[in-house]
Amino acid sequence: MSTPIPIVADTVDRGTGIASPRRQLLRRMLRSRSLVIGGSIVLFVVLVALLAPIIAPFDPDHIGTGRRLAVPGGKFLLGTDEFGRDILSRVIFGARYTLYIGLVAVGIGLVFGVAIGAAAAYAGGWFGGLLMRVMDLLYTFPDVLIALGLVAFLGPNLTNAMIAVGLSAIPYYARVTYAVVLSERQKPYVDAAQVVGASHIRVVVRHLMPNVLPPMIVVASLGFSAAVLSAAALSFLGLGAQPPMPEWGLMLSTGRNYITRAPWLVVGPGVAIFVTVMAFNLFGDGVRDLLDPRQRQRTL
Amino acid sequence: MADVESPMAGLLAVEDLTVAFGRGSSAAAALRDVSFALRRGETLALVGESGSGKSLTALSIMGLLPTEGQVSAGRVLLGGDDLLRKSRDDMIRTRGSRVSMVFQEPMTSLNPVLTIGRQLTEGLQFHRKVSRAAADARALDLLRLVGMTNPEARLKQYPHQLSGGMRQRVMIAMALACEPDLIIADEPTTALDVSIQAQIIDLLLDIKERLGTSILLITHDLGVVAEMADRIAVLYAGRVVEIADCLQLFDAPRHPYTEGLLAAVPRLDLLVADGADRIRLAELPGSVPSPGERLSGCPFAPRCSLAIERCSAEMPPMRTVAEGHTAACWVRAAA
Amino acid sequence: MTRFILRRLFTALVTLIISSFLVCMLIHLIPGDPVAMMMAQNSAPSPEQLAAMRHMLGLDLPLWQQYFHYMGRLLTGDLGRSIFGSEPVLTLLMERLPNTFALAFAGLAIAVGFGMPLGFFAAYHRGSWADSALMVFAVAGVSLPNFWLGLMLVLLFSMTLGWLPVAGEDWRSMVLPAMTLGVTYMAIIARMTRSAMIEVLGEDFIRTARAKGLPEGIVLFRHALRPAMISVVTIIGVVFGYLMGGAVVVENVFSWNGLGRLAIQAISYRDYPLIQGFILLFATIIVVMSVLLDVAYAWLDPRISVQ
Repeated sequence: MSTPIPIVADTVDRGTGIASPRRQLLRRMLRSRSLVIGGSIVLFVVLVALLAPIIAPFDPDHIGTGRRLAVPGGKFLLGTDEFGRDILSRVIFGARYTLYIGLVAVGIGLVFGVAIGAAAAYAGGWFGGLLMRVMDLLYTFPDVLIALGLVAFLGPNLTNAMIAVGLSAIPYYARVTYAVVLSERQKPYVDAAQVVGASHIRVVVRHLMPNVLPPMIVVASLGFSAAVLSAAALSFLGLGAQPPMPEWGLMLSTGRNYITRAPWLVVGPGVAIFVTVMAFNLFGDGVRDLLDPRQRQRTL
Repeated sequence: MADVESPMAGLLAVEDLTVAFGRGSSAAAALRDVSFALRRGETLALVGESGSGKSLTALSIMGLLPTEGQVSAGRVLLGGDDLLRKSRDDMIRTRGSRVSMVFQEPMTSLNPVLTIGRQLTEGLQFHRKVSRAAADARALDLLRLVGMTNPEARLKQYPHQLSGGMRQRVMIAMALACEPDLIIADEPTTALDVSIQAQIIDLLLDIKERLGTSILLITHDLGVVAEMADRIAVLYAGRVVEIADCLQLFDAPRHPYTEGLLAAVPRLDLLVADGADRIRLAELPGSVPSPGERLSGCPFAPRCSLAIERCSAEMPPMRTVAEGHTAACWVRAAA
Repeated sequence: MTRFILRRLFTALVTLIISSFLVCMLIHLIPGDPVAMMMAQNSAPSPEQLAAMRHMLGLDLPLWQQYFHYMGRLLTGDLGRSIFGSEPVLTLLMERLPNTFALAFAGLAIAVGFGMPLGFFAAYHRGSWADSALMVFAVAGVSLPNFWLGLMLVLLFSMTLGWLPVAGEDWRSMVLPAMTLGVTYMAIIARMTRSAMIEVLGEDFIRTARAKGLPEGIVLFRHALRPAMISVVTIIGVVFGYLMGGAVVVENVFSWNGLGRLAIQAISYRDYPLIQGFILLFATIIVVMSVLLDVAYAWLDPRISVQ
């Protein structure tokens, strides 16, 4: 005859034992509201950017698609701008620029930042210390200002703006990488791998990278939103995208000249920037919560 | 009438205290029907492994349970008042004034940005409505009482300027500030160096003798128990399984779990003599079941070598096995 | 404490020296001949004019001497002359500085004045609907492009309601730009305050304070507030720097006559001495501010101020 306690122990085991780690992860992902909402919007923006030529009702650059400064509604859902171009189509094509700018900027920042941070953490000593002190120092300067300074000298255009925004974020990526690699490096498995005779490169690639990757997804996602904001700000100031590009920041910049007569010019592109940036922020927060629920309250 | 004033009259009675975590169907009982009594001037030790519910019992008495936990049944009588039925404000007036608590971690239990003097006097000023000057004078007395050197200077210092042992003395002084009837000491020596542990135990013994304060000592350190306790209550998986006088429990434990606990303690006299080499609870095979797994039977049954069928079906009641000695076991404390 | 401040001042000095070096070298980032680029705005400059300009900027010196040349002038307060209008850069910057400061501090006051209480409130009522609402607001706040928020506030308060002017020089015209700046950073401060407070409320010493039978008000305001403030103060320094960066953008939305507008003008005219001066001034402001906040931090935390 079975006693009640083993039965209970059994059911408890079955309750947690049945779901594979992968399915458990999936379940936790779906339960995280910010991850689901943020991820869906990110996916939506990506789809809009990819399918822009198909879903946009008009040619975004065609002058005189409609009347100049037509009120939203009817044929032009978001109205038309000062050249009679369809604003909705321009916002849709703007998603391409935004994602492109974000990817290039994050790419530049990540490549240099991760290299610097990982080198400093792995090398350690006075070299690593010095490198990180410089990064800490640069980090105290707002990224917009660094980007502004760089664009001032490189010359104002979209390519330079992307480079400047990317470079300005290097300290951020370097600091995070440094912290993550340093804490991983101190874990016993790294020593163990070295004792067994694994080469430095092998330790980094096979052992460190898989552990460093998840937190990097978080910083890349949060960094993406910051890059989109900075780049849009530069374009707004006339230092990034140049007319007639349907870039959201630039559209706001020209639209504000008509704010009294046609306020809809500054609504669509602004909402688009806001929603996209928020989606990447939510997504990053969601991944972070998933990685370390205790970190939840300590987010910036 | 004489009963109330008698030094060994009942001070604290915990009756059938049941505490659950979580709500509704997922609620799990972390404490179940915990009952014990503490007389005036007595030191009762609550012993058990981590997870047995020792600290939870203390927090329930103080009304400081974390928000996820709630008392679902029972009474906590302090001098006749049921603390569990008190209003929030009444409970605030009771804490620190009639019952106070000394925590395990002296390093983190003092506020790092307030001076020692401030932390010593604020309770007095609130509970006893004394002037700042009177509170300061009392703080000096308290620091002398707990054996701090140079008390005038200490008042102006911050916790980070004191060693762990000194901080624990400050914690004890704080607990004594309003002359409470009962001090709950939750692992008061665990976080300290061995040599400092002995000093803190001596201090608590001295205070008990001089002020007649009752102490509810919570620990898993049998060495501390042997030195300080008058009586011992053994907790296992949220239930009291045995209560006896200190010597009696060490000499003739009845519950198999208590026996297991004591298995590693060779001889009580040796233990007391060699306080520096304290012995922790022996490693028993298996582990304490988590609150969610606890069922109707004796929680120790799965790990017990003496278990019979009845043990896993029905919780044994506490039975008197000798004068002042009760235990809950179908096999060893049968009627 | 003194040692702490001295060490802090030393690192600040090093920071400024490195910044000045970077600023001096920035001019070599310019693709092509910077002097020709600068002068190209005028009618075709003669070779003599180019040489004179090169000499004025010290660009005819060997690279390693350029920095000393630059520093030498810097120490006498000479930041060079603006290429357009040929006024001293320092004069131009100092004219605009008060406006930018006024805007930045008003923004900081809004951010801290509202953000900290909101954060404290949310932390104390953790898990309530108010807390959730605040967290949504916090994510939204950091995602809002400040230039767009500015335009929306203009639409609402100036165009639709007609309460506040779009531009101007009096305090009323500062309300909208300060609000624009404040709201974004309010979200960050509220979020940081909340997490700091939640962390402190979980500390052992808060339990000790409650075990003493202190009323909740004393537990919160005497025991929890100050330790939480300490960690918030450390980030206010960083926030201020970013707020100054935000000010540059917001000034351009509201035509606020500050350094940010001057900078954008300088960039579009390729007025390199003015741009260099602008960057250096911002670096100095941010460094000085972070030193001041570190001192405030040390003063709040007895573990540093009481050795």
